[in-house]
Amino acid sequence: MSLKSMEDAAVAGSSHHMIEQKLSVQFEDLDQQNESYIVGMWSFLVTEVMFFGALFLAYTLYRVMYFNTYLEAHHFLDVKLGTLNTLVLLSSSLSAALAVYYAQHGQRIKVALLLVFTCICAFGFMGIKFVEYTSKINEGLLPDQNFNYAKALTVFHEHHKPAAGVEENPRANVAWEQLEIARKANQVTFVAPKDNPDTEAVEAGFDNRVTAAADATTRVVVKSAARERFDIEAGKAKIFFSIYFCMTGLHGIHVIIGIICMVTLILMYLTKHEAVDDYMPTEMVGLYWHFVDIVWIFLFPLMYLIS
Amino acid sequence: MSTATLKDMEKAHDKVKEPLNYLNATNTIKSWLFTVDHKRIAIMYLVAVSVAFLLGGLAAGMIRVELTVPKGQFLTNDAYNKVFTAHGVIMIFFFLIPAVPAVLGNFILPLMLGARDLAFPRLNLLSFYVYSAALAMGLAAIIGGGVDTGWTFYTPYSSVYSNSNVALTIMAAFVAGFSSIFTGLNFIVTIHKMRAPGMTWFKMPLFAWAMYATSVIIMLGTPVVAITLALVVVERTLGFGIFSPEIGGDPVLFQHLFWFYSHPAVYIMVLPAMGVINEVIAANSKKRIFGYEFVAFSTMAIAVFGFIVWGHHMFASSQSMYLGLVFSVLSFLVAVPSAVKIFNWATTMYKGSVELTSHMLYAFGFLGLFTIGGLTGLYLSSLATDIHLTATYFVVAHFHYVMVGGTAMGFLAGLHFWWPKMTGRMYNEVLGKVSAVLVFLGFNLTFLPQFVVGYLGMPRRYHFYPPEFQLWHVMSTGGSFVLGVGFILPVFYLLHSLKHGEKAGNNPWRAVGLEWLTTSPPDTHNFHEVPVVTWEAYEYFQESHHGGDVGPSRFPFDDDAVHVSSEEEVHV
Repeated sequence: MSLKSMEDAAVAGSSHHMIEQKLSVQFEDLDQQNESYIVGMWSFLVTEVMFFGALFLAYTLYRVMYFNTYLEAHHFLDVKLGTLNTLVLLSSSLSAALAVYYAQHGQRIKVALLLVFTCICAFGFMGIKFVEYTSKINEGLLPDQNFNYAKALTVFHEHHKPAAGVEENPRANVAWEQLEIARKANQVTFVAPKDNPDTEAVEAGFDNRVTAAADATTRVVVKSAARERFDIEAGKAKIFFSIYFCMTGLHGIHVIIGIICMVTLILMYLTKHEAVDDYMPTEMVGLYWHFVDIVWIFLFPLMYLIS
Repeated sequence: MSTATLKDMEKAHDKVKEPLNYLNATNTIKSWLFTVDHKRIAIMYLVAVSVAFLLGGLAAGMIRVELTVPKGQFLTNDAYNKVFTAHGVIMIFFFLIPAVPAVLGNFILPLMLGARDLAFPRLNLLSFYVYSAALAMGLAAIIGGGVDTGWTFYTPYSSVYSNSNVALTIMAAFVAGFSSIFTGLNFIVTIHKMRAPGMTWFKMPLFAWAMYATSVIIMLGTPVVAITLALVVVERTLGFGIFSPEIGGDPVLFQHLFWFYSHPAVYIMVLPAMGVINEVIAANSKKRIFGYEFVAFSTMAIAVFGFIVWGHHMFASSQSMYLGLVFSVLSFLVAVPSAVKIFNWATTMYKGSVELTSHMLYAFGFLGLFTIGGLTGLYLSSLATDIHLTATYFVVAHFHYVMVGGTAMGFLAGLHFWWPKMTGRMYNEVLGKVSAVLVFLGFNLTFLPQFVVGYLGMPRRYHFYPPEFQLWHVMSTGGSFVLGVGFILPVFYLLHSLKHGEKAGNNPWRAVGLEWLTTSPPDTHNFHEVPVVTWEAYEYFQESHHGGDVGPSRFPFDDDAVHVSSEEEVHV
């Protein structure tokens, strides 16, 4: 026996893991094995930070470039649902932490119950997220080919009339102002492209000056200045919603992976699988879940609470 | 006794007495496909990486054939774009990045550290399958129509306009990234936690330092490019807007994020090769690497500096001039640790007993070619000259000197150096030397003219060029075929050695390092007994503090001290 393993054996004798752990063949002793898992998991979380990091950089760049757009577009996000989701996720993190604590002390039933609670929270989070996503998509705010900021703004301002005497922040209304100017010039009500696939009619929804070409067979559409400005604003808003969907979507994927891990873990506890004689699997999932939680703690204020 | 019967006896003896090792322990296909043994995974990686190298080389050959005449008559415009993209994608994502770490690192690192395996053997296997899946996706994209964006996937061409298989290719690169993340994670944990008793950080071989630095870059860089490429796919397939300038997006943001990984990625490719060169030069000079600590720290310094120089890829991409200046200065800094290494290797050989083995010839090739590659890099990091040289064949020649002259040469040096350990057999040394010389000559003939033609103004990725450039291109094409022969040759004599090669013995090069303590090929769990390290790395002689030798190495060189090979038993 080597010197190090003798030392480690002495240390291992004094430490008191409540449950017996299995030693893989490549390791000398349990401490080495557990430390390896911990170093590995933290290294993995570092890669996860970098993974989200690129998105946070894109978010920051465009926030600096197009702050007014961010300000106006973020009003479409539901702060109440966002807050609720933050609470749901925070309580799931608490139960995950407790699950790890009880796993270290070998109290299987408590671990399983806490994991079930964490899982329910995770499902709840995804449910609320589903409600939010659905309403965004219905409003025309999914930033794909059907992205329709004009429609979304119109509907939004119909429902959110500012109370009498309250001044609206002009910086948060750039797109809406341009849209209104463009519309008033023509006195035409808005027609959504979905309801009317005839593009010409949609163009007529704004104050486009439509001029006939010399041969009278083609028509050249010249956009008004207000319409031009609105289109630019809508493009920037599309970037905001692209980043919103990518960041929350990637976070959602991580939540789903977490759910899969936790369900697997719960099943292992229920079937008394030998791998969960060891507290390490629970510890790993716990670390991962805290990371998912922390990402949301950054996402929530950055997306929902812009001012 | 007649010679025939003696031979028969020897054969029978071999069959009976061949000690159990990782190759003959189990023999079913299943035992290979589901193995968690780092050595078997390394062998599978070797096969996969070689296939990728062959395909990438085929594409390179097509490029060279096309460029032989000024108005390329071999490929259409579209096909040419797809061929150079295929060459870049395959070579970078499927050969250069995994070659040294996933093959040599996987095999040698645990042996060097005195570990029984990597920390997470199953993750290692997963890494191989993820790599294979990525390779399959990449090949499917290339065969099923091809990609024409170049391996850099610049937006908005890739995300909006290109009509080729961009999404699938990008997904292949994305998936391949995870395979290297898994390998990097495994190496980091293994180096931190699984070193043999007595092996402190500064007693580790420098190859392990190189693997550590590489893994750190992989862990910090790869996720960034992964998410960036994912964003391009989202923009392309779902129509989201992130990099598209049409709606106010910033295409240069893509370039920043892409090069934030892809510049450090060149150190992912070349640092492991530098690690190999340390081992080969020390073993063939029978000397401790001169200035061990300096080389170790220069390795880490390259990893750190590598992350702050990416902007030099955007000197001509609307980046602010002041940012360009900063990136230019920082890029010069990388030359310092690289030069430290080159000088230390040269000094190691000074007054050493240098043996001109085939792997040493490859290492010489590395030194020469990497030095040229590194020095021409200074022309490109200098802001003013780079404006002239941006996107010309000068750049192409520069990075081929670093990538082929550095990484591929280092890979071959390492493969020849550790082949006896991996297979237990010796290859044909003469052919090895021939191959090393052919590669060196062919390489220079291919890429030296490209510096000239690039300086004269030949842009990269073009296949029509003024007739006055033809001479340079013909030289280049001719050289590429010599190079091709040099690369193919090892395939034959290495495979031949598997059956017909001499038995290698445990330590054929009389080198220092834990991997040479165990049998060749090693036992499934590497060591019968975990070694205890009492000597410095590369202790060919014990040195006094003033530099002189004070005594013989404490490393047990003698094969017999560890294990008696079956060959020697026969002679007894």
